[in-house]
Amino acid sequence: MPAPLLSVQNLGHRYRHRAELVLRDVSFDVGAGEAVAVVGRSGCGKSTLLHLIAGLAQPTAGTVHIHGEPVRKPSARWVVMFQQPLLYPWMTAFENTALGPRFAGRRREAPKLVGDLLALVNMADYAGTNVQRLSGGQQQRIALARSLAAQPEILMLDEPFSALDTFTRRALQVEVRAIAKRLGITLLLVTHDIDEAVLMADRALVMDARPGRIRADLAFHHLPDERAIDDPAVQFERGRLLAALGETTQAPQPGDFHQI
Amino acid sequence: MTAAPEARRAFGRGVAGAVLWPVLGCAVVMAVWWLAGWRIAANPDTANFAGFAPGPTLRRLADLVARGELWRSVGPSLGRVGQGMAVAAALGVPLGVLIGGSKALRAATHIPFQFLRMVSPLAWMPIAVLSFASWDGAIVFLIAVAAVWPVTFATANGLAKIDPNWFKVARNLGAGPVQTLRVVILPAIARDVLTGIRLALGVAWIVLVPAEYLGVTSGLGYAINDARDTLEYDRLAAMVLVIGTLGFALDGLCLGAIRRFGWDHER
Ligand SMILES: Nc1ncnc2c1ncn2[C@@H]1O[C@H](COP(=O)(O)OP(=O)(O)O)[C@@H](O)[C@H]1O
Ligand SMILES: [Mg+2]
Repeated sequence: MPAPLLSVQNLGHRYRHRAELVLRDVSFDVGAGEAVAVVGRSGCGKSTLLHLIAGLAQPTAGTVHIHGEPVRKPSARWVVMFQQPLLYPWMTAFENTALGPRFAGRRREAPKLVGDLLALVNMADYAGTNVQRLSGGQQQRIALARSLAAQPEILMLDEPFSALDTFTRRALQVEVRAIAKRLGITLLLVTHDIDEAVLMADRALVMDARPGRIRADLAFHHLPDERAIDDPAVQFERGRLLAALGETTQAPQPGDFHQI
Repeated sequence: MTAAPEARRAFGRGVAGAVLWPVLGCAVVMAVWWLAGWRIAANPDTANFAGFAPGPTLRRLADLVARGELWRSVGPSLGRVGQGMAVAAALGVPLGVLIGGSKALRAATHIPFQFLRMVSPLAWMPIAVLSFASWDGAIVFLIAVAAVWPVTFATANGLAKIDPNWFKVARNLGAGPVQTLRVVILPAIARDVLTGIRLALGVAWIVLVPAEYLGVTSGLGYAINDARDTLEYDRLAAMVLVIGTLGFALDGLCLGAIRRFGWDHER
């Protein structure tokens, strides 16, 4: 069996010495080109998990390996797209998107790459616009283009579309999966939205809270590559995921999940 | 059109705010100046000081400009302020970045720096005179001492209030420390640094004149002193007018730079 692209082993984390254990013994592998969703309710430690995997914070226990190498610090080879756009307000959409190539010393490639990516996220007309003039949804599109412009092997998404309206969210969920599959980018997505998981992932890991642990691993074998929420197969897998979530130690509370 | 009178009134208010009131304010000051000059000239005890009045002052100013004498005072002064400000910025910006970036350094430097800030720059005059071979060097030193604190504190302030997420994004996209400094930190604090420089320039301009009472034989401060010694009160008043006008113009330049390089106004 080939080594997995990403391997998470016995990951544990507390924010402060003797503080509450946020993550306990989290282990899973992700293969190259796979799209994996980690699903759990708010506060179960999803963002923490993503920060640890990306090397933006150091775990108190366990290891993360990418290509068999331990992750010690962030790298443009794996990029997190955060919950908020976090664009630099003094820059245009183009300048924000071109940051990855700029940091990598590939400024000359930037115009073409960034132009293509802005077109891909339907923001080509706004290349020269200061990002403070863009709406939340437009900003998040630029954040997506910026993540892709770094040309990562792994794109890690932290509930990236939760602030957007349903229409935009649906479109981006389907588009991002299609883009990642086309470019061969591995997707690791954390979300509390089960629709997002079934629309975007090949596999879902169900996470418990307090402490955060993986309690189920569901593969979506029967889903087509191109997803639509009203597809009966998608609805079927959604039901399975919902059932698996229902078995988590705490019953879901109103507002915990979208679309329940 | 019902909107027209309203629009005209709004336009009227705009003109009043931008032109009318400032002109009126200046006119009042001119009137007071003229009245005072007239009283001084009318009183035999003070008639020697009649040169302070607007008429003689403005005539003398035109004369100073025409004979190029004004530039011989202004040039050296601007040079000294420029050098002092350059030194202050070269020290203050890096120092501010370090202090703003490190809680420990901020805590360690707080008391010494607040203490030093409160010592009038002119109190360093004897030390400046002893430690610099030239008068020019001593004056530049005094200006730098006055200007370094506003720059340092404003820079540190700007750094401390940078959103930590901006650093996270930069690291996430593969930025090294130098790239983070150039792409994130400096643009993020540009407005604060320029605001500090604006404050510093105000202080430097004030320190300049007394500093130029020191040994030098050029500059605006020297010109004031010299005019007093030769009892040319019209020249003295002309120089005061020039100092105020130039200070106002320099401040305006800083304000323009702040507008140009600040980014919050785009919101
Ligand atoms: N910087 C932090 N310092 C201390 N506690 C934190 C910090 N970030 C998150 N936590 C805590 O860790 C737990 C998990 O948070 P998070 O990973 O953000 O969850 P999720 O992304 O699933 O909503 C929460 O109880 C939260 O209060
Ligand atoms: Mg989160």
